[in-house]
Amino acid sequence: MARRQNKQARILADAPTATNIHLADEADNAYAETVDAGHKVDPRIQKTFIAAVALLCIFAFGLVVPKDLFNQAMHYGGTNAGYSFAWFTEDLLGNVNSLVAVFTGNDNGPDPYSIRIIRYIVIAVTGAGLALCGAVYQGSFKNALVSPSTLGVMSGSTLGMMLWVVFLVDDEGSNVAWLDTYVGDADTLSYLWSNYSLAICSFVSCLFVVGVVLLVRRLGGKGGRSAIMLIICGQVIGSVMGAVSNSIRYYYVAENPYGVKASLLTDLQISSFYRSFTWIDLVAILIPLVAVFMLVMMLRRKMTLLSFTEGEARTMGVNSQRMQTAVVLLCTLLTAILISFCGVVGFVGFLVPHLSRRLVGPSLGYLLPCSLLVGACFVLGSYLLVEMTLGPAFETMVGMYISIGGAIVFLATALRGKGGTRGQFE
Amino acid sequence: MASSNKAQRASSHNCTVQYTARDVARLRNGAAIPSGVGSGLGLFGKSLSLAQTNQLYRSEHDALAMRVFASVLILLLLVFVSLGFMGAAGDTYTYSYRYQVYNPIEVAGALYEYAYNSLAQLTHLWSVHTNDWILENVPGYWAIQQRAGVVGITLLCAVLLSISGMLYQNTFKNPIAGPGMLGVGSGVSLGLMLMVYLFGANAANMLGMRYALCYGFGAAILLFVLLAGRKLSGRGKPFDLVTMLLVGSIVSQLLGFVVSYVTLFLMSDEDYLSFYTLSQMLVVDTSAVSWLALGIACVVSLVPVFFLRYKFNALALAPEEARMLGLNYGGLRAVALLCGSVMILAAQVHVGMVSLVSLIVPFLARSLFGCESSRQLIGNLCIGPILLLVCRDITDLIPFIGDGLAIGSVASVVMLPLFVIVMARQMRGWE
Repeated sequence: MARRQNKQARILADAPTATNIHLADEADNAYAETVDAGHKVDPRIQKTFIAAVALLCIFAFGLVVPKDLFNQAMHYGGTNAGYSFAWFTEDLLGNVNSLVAVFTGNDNGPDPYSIRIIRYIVIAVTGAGLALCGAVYQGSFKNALVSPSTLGVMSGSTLGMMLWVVFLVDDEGSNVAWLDTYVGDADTLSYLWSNYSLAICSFVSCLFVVGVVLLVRRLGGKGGRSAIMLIICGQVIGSVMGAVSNSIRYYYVAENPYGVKASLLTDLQISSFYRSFTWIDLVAILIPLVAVFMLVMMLRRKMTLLSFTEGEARTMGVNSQRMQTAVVLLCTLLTAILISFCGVVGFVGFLVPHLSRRLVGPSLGYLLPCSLLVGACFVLGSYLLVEMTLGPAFETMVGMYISIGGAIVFLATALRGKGGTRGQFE
Repeated sequence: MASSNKAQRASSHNCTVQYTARDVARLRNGAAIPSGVGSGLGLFGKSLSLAQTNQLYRSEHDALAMRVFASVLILLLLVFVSLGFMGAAGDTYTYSYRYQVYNPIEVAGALYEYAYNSLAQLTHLWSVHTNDWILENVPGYWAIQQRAGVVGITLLCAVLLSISGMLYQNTFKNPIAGPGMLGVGSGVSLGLMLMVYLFGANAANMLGMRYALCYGFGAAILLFVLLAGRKLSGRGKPFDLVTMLLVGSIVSQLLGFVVSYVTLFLMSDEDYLSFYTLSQMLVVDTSAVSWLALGIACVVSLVPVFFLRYKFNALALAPEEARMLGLNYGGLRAVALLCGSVMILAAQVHVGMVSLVSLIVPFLARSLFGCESSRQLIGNLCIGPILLLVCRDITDLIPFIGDGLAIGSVASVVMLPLFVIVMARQMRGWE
């Protein structure tokens, strides 16, 4: 019986009924007419394709074009000779050569170029994952102000990193020795520990925070299962964690402003992509991303039903609360993995879904891939911009470029207000 | 009266709703009537008699009065404890006294002297000899005077915080839409950041400029968000709150990132410390300038809310319904938003970033005092000050490095168990 109901629900959700079209957007009607008329590709597919091409272009651009433009222009040749651009072509050709060397297997120098490729891929994957999570969150909560940090994951990660600094780092800034003795002599284990202890702390803290949020929500009993209560619990607990980590930082900075711990705490609070990445990192964040993306794409029609009230969805055979919680928790897990490997990257998960909703409209089948691509473009582009203008010394300041650029782009597209679909929720 | 009532009941046998003139008057004012009145469902399905209706009104009124009385009592007790027991906290501010506890009579005496002297100096109506030698004979005068300023500012800001939370929760039926959402708070941090960036540690002493910059930047960003929201929601269309919230949250997140990058990367650590001290108000400023600014903000924001306290019930309706009742829905909403923003601005300038009070106190007020708007107002007035005063005392009792703990951090930790209790007992009154 239940299976039959499920099947009916799937048929109902799949069929382009009046409800579905109304749900998606009125703009969908216009698109549907365009598609019916034939002769034209669906503009949503076009835009997604454009985003993919843009991502490839940005990637190629980043691999080839020289870094640290201002500094190099000032100091080319070892002397402060004023501005000159002679180094530009030289650096460009060097980059092309080492890129060729990667593919011919000659990438054996002290500073292998493949590391740089992996770094860019990791950064793009991070942006893509956060944007995807944001789109899923906003879709399933039906709330325009939700972002992946709503459930307190970001502040949980910050708190975890602070606790790492407090307990696992000594005053010289290296890992505390007594833990290494427990980890033992096994090579892989000690390698993992010395490289990933920060990520592990951050991840555990994220899980802890999400667990507390769910626990508090469970305390609410039957009425506490609504989505709004989940959001409020996340807000409250996130702000508590933020308060604790603020106080910790203030304590260490006030104790010794020039100490290693103080500067570490300060850096970890907002730096993103603060360490070098290997293929292990890439695999560790790529697999969850792909899994979550495929799952969400498979569930997207059911997720459209989440915008119904609970009773309506249940008459269609979907247990909306349970499914919503499951999807949101999966995305939270993905967010936790991403930010514990790469550092806190704010604003992407909130902004990119809104941008891509303006591009392709609110129907999830197009919104999810598009926000994936736009997010990757956005974060990678900001990172390249930072590398080019400020130089490698400031590359952890991506967040600033992301927030400024994102706000400008959003306000500009919104104020122009024509073309594209309006990013509304109704 | 009784006979006409009976006749009315007899004539409208099938009619289910019966209101007296009092109910109609209250409804017209926008006030709620007690549940049961007018429903026609008294005992055994009969409609209520006049005496029963009176009884309903009286019991509701008595319950409300009892709650208000109890909370005022608790607040008074807390104030006396805070002044007498925490008067020693005066030594963290200006004077170094040895730790001493003052009993309520001494506290009352010192407060009386303080009030008398301030009034005399303010009005010059009668001459008093206020020299230090006389005041030294009043036990604990200086410590209690210092503490009274801190307590007073904390109480006023608690009122502002909780009422702004109430207004925002009633306007947006969206729990994330806290009063900080329109970017006012980030404006304040921006102003403080500029101060510290320009003047370093001296920024703490430049009171006039500090308040001017904080209020100015907060108001400028509020204005920007309102105008951009107006522009974005399109010409001729009704004002779209979601768009405005989007703009507000984008602006506030952007400014928050910029401020944190500047304070963490570009400032020296000493400057970061003084920025933290200023933005979290680790040292409460009880100077005359501070009182003046806070007083103006209070009058500007609280007076309209007080006079519109019944009308704000209309915010719970759909816009069309409210318009059909002849109410100016857009105007009400605008007043609520503006007053709420001014309140949160003032509170943030004078006690620092205290976020959770404006989220949780309205919850508590709704569940303890009722959902009707004027009752919510009374509830927030009663509960908010109690909670924030407790937070203030805890903050000053815990020894911590530097200028002490931030009241915002303590408040969010204190609010967590309260929130859990609210959740667990289902005292939500949200949907």
